[in-house]
Amino acid sequence: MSSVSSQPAGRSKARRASAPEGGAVRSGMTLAAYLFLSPYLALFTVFMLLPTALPMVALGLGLAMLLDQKLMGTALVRTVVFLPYVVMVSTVGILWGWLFDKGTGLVNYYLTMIGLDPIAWLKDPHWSMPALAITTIWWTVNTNMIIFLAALQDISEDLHDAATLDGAGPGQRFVYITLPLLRPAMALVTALTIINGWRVFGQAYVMTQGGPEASTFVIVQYIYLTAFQNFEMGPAAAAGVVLLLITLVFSLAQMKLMKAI
Amino acid sequence: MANDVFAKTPLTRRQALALALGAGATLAGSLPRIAFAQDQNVTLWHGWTGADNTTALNGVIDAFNKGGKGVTVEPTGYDWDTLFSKWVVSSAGGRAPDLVLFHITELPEFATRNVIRPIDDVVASSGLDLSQVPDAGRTGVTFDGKVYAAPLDVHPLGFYYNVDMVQEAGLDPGKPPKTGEEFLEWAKKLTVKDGSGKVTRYGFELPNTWATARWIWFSLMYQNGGTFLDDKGLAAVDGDASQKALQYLVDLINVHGVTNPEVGGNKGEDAFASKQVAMKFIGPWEVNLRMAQKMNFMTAQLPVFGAKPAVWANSHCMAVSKQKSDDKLAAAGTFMKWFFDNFAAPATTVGIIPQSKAVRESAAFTGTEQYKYFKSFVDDLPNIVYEPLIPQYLSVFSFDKPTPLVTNLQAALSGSKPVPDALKAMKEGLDTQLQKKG
Amino acid sequence: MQDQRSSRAGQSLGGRSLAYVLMIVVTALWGAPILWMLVTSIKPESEIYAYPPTWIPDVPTLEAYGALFQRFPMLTWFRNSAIVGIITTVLTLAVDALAAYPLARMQFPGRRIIMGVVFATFLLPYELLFVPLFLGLNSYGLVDSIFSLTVPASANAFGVFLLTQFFQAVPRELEDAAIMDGCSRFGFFWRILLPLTKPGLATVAIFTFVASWNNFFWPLIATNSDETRTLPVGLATLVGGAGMSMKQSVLMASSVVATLPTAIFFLALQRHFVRGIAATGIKG
Repeated sequence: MSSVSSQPAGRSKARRASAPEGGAVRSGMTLAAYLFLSPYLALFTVFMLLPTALPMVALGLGLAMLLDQKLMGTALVRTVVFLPYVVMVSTVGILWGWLFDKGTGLVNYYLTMIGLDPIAWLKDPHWSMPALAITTIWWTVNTNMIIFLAALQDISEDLHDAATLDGAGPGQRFVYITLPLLRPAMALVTALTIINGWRVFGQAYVMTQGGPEASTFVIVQYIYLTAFQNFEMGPAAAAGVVLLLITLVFSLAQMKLMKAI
Repeated sequence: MANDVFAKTPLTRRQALALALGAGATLAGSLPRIAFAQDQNVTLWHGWTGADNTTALNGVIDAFNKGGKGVTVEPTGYDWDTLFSKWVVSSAGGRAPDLVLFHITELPEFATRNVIRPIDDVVASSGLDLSQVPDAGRTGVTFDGKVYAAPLDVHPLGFYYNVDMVQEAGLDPGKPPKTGEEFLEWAKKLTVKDGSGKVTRYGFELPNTWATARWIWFSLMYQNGGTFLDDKGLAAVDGDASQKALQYLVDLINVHGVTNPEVGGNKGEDAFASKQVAMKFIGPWEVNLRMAQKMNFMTAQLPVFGAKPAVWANSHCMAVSKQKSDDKLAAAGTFMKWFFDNFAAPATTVGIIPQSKAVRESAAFTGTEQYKYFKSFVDDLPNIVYEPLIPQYLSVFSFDKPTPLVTNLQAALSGSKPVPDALKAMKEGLDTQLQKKG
Repeated sequence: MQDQRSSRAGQSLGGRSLAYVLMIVVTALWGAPILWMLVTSIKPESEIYAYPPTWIPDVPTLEAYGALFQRFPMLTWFRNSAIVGIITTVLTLAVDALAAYPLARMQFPGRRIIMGVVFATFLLPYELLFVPLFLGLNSYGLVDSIFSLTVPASANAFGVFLLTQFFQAVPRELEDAAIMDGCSRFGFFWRILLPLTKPGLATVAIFTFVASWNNFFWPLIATNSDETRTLPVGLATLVGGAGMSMKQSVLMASSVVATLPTAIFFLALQRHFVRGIAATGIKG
C-alpha cells in the first residue's frame, strides 16, 4: 500500500494507534505472532543473562567473603562498592558509554597501558554484550554482595572453630561448612539476578540502543518501543505477558529450590 | 477584609480552618492570573535540549512574553524520543500542549496520527510569510494538500575539518576538497600511522553507531542519482546508486584504510575533539560545541562524490497540536509568526540555518561570530534532500532501536555482510515496515 | 562490620596482605567511574578530551555547575524530588507494612493467592503500566500533581515481600503475650512489631527513596510543568538528545547533582540497611 496517498485507511489506523486500548483486542493473536516470529528477542536476552548472571553471583559471593573479614577498611570498601547502586540509570549509561569508547574511554586507555589492544566495546557486536554486562555488574552486584554478606555473618563461628580443631583447612571449611549454609542465600541471589537480568533495559538503551547489529536488543526495549513509539499496546502487552511468564517460572523454581533445602 | 470577618464574629476552629483553606486556594489560584492579567497562556514543547539550547530558547521566548503581545508562551524541552511518546500519550488523555516543535520528516506521521491540525487559517490570519521559505521547506510542511506547520530552519550535513592537521599534512585549509578524488587524497594524507604501522589517527570519521553513517550514505545515494523509495513507495535501497554509495564508504574502511567504523559516534565518543580523526560530516549544530572546545576547525560544503551535489538535511517546524477547542489558536498563531520572524538568535545558538530568507540574510544572523562556519551550510541549501516524508518515519528511521536500516548498515560497515546482501536484507525489512501502516 | 567474631580467612600475614591488595583493587574499580564523573564535571570543556586522560584538571572550574544553577529552576526540581521522595517513602512504608502484617501473621482463606498476585506484580515490567496508568489518572484529573507521582508508587510489591519476611521472623509468642496483656492487634503492630523491625523498614525506605529519586519515565509522563517536575526529568531537558550538541562537563555536573542526595541518604541509613538485610532478608 502506498503510504501517503491512501488517506482514509491511514486515518483509521491512526485513530487506533493513538487510542492505546484499541490495540489490546489483538493481543491474543499478536502473542502467538510474537512468540513465533520474534524468538530472537528472547535469545538475545538469554545471551545477556549468561555473561551477566554467572559473574553477578560469583562476584557477589567473592566480594562478600572478602569484606566479611576482620580487617581495617572493610566498611569503606563496602560503601564504595555500594555507591553505584544510588546512581540513576541514565547516568550509568552515559558514564559507561564514554568509559567504553574505543578512543577516548578510560577502559581502553588502561588496557593499552598493560599492553593489550584497544577494544571497540560498544561498536563491535561481539563485545557489546560483555560491555553491558560489566556495566550491569558494576551497578548492581552490590545487592548480591549484601545478601551474601548477611548470610555469612549468620554462620556460627563455633562451626568454623570446631572444624579448624579437627584439622580442616580454609578450602575444606569453605566447601563443607560455608557453601552448604549459604544455599538459601544462593537460591535467592540466583533468582533475583535472573529475574533482573530478564528485565535489563535502561543501561542497554542509553549505551547501545540495542545495537550494533541488534546484538544488545533486549525484551524490555522491545516492549518499551512498541508501547511508546509505535503505540501498539497489544503486542507490547503480549510481550509483557511472555516476560511475566518467564520470570514467574524462574521464581517458582526458586521457591521450590528453597523449600527443598 | 479578613480583619473585618475576624472582628465581627469569633470563629470556631473549623470555620477558621475552612477560611484559611479557602483563602489559600484563592490566593494560589489567583496568583498566576494577577501576574499575566490579560495574557493567554500558550504551551510549547520542543526537543532543543542541552543547557545552552534551552537557555537560548527561553531567552527568546522571555523577550516575546515581555513584548506586550497579550500572549505568554511556556516552553518545555524534552529529548526528541520522549517528547513524541509524551505528546501522543498526552493527546490521548486530552492534555496536549498548544504548540509543538519537531522535524519536518515526522510531520506526515503526526498528521496521520491525528495529533496536529492544518494551519492554513492560522498562516493567513497571522500573516506568516511562507514565500520566504525555499520550495523544499514549503513542500515539507504540506501534507495532503494542507499546510500543517511553520518551517523554521534547515540543518544539512556539512564538512568539518581540523585546520591544524590539514596544515601539518601540507594541504591548503583554504581549498577544501570538492570532489570524491580530492576528498580521498585529503583523507589519505590526514591518516597517520605510528612506526609499527598502527593507525593513530584516521582521516575521516565514519562511526557505525548512531545516525551519521546513514546520513552520509543517504547523501551519496542521491549524489549518484538514486532515491530511497521507488515510485510505488517501496524501498529502492538495493539499487545501483545505493550500492555504489555504500560500497564507496566500505572501501574507505577496507581498501583505503582512511576511516574506521569503530571510532567516534555520538555524545561522549567525541573523536573529532579528541584528535582521533581529522575530518567529519555532521550538521551545523556542532559549530557552537567546537567553538567552546576552542578547536581550530573550519567547515565546507559536502564534496560531490557522484554525478551531482546532494546533501542530507532535516528541518524543524512548529505545529499546532490538536485541541478540543480553538480558543488559543490566534495566540498560538501570534507566537508562531513572531518566532518565524525572529529566528536568528535561536538559530545561532542551536546551530541551525533559518528557513526564512529575510532572517537568513539579516545582520542578526550573518553578523554573528558563528556565521563564518554557518556560511558553507547556507551555500549548500540548494542541494538539500529530505528523507522520505512518510507516515512510518519514526519507526523506519528510529535512532534508538535496531531497525532494518541501522542493523544492515552496521553489518555492511563492520564487514559482517557484503554490501549487496546487506542492502537486499535492508530492502526486505524496510518493505515490511513500509507496508505496515498507511 | 559486626566484628565480635574473629576473622575467617586472612589469619596469616600472606592472606591478610592478599586481602588488602584485593580490597584496594575493588575500591579502585568501583570508585574510579564515580571519581571520573566528579573530575569531568569540574574540567573546562577544552580539557575534557585531553589525551592521555588526566585525573586532576589543570584549570578546575565550577562553570558547569554555574550553568545549571543559575539558568534553571534547579532548586524547584530539587524540592519536588525531595517532597515526592519523602511522601512516597512514608506512604510506601505505611501501605506495605499494613499489607505485610496480615500476610505474614494471620491465617485467612486466599492468603497464598493474594501473596502470589502481589509477588507477580513485582515481576511485571513497569514500562508496560505507564499508558494505562496515565489514562486512568487523567480521567480523574489527577495528572500533573503530587498525587500522581506518589500514590501509584506506594503499592510496592517488593516492599510488601520484604516486610512479610521481616514480620514472619518475629516470634508468635510475643504477639500472644501482648494480646493477653490487653494489647489490640493494631497496638501490637504499632508499638511492638514496627520497633522490632526497624532495620527492615530502613531497608525498604532506602530502596523506595532511591527508586523514587531516580525514577524518570513515569514523572516525565505524569508532569507537565516546572512546578511539579522532578530533578531527573528537569535534568533530562538539559543534557541534549539526538542531533543536539552538548557539553560533557554540564552532563557530568548534572549527574553529580542528581547522585549526591541519594548518596547522602544512603550513607546516613546504610548501617541500618546492612543490619536489615542481615536480620531477616534471607530467612524466607
